Amino acid sequence: MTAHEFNKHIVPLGDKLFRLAMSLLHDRDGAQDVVQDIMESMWRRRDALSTVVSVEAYVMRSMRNLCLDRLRVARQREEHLHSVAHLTNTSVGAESGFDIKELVERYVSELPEQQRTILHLRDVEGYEFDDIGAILSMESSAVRVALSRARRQIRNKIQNALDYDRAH
Amino acid sequence: MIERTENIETIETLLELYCNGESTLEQERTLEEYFCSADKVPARLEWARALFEHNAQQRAAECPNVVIDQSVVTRYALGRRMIRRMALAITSVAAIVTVGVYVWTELRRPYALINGERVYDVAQVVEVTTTHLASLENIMPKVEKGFQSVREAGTSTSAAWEIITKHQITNLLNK
Repeated sequence: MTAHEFNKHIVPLGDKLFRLAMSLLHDRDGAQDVVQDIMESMWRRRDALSTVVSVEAYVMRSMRNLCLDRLRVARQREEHLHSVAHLTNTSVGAESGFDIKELVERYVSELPEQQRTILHLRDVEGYEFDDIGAILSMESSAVRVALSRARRQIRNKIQNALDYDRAH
Repeated sequence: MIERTENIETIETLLELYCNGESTLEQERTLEEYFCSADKVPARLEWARALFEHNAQQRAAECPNVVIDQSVVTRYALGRRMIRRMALAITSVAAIVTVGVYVWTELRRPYALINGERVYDVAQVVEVTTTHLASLENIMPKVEKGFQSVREAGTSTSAAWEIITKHQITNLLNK
């Protein structure tokens, strides 16, 4: 893969990679770092990329794996959940008019990692089920089931929070 | 495109498909467009507005240009190419210098020709030279004596060599 082809096929994925990293790491600086790392890594492996069937799926899968590695090392997710839970616990309760955006973010971040990634790839990036399956090495039917579970879970939690807010 | 007022039922149908994971991307775009632009939605659908607004907000995030600089890759490639060429040039020069130094050292190395062969071992050269000098010391008095006899007989040096040679040949024939 030449520099021109790399610029044409890989570099434009930067925003998607950044958003995926953000959804997994919840850290803007960390997301920037992993995008930079993945770009350099892909550049070093550019010869191997020529033999990959779906370059985009390969790059997205590599990004997910890199983010999961970072999470395992830094345990940033736990810290994030802890901080968001603290914020939400103080807002959902006696006070009305809580921040619904923070609430949605919290519920999304509480999903299992796989469901969260599927939800992101489908609802934010607009991938087809087959493409998500290629990225996550899953059958598209399994992707559909996991996505359905994630959406229903988010719906129920938001509805419960809104009902609670209205009742108080 | 969903008309604002009369199609709540359509929206709810699409939401049911959405929650079942059965909606198409086009239907999901329709839902997002509706919920992100609606001034007011029924209370039972507030959850959907919150979720679709969250999705739209997530999508708006862009990677800072400082990270994905379009020229970075090209510069990186050029840098790598330059490093490769410099490494090749340095290796070539080093190889040429090494071969040159080796040849120069070999040419400059002192040696002695003994029986037509180059001998670099100083000890061996000294030994051979000493042996030959000893041999010369043994025969030199005889040679000198022969020349003395020739001079006394009033013969020239060339004639003396001729006599000595004939004498040696006669001795050889007699042997």
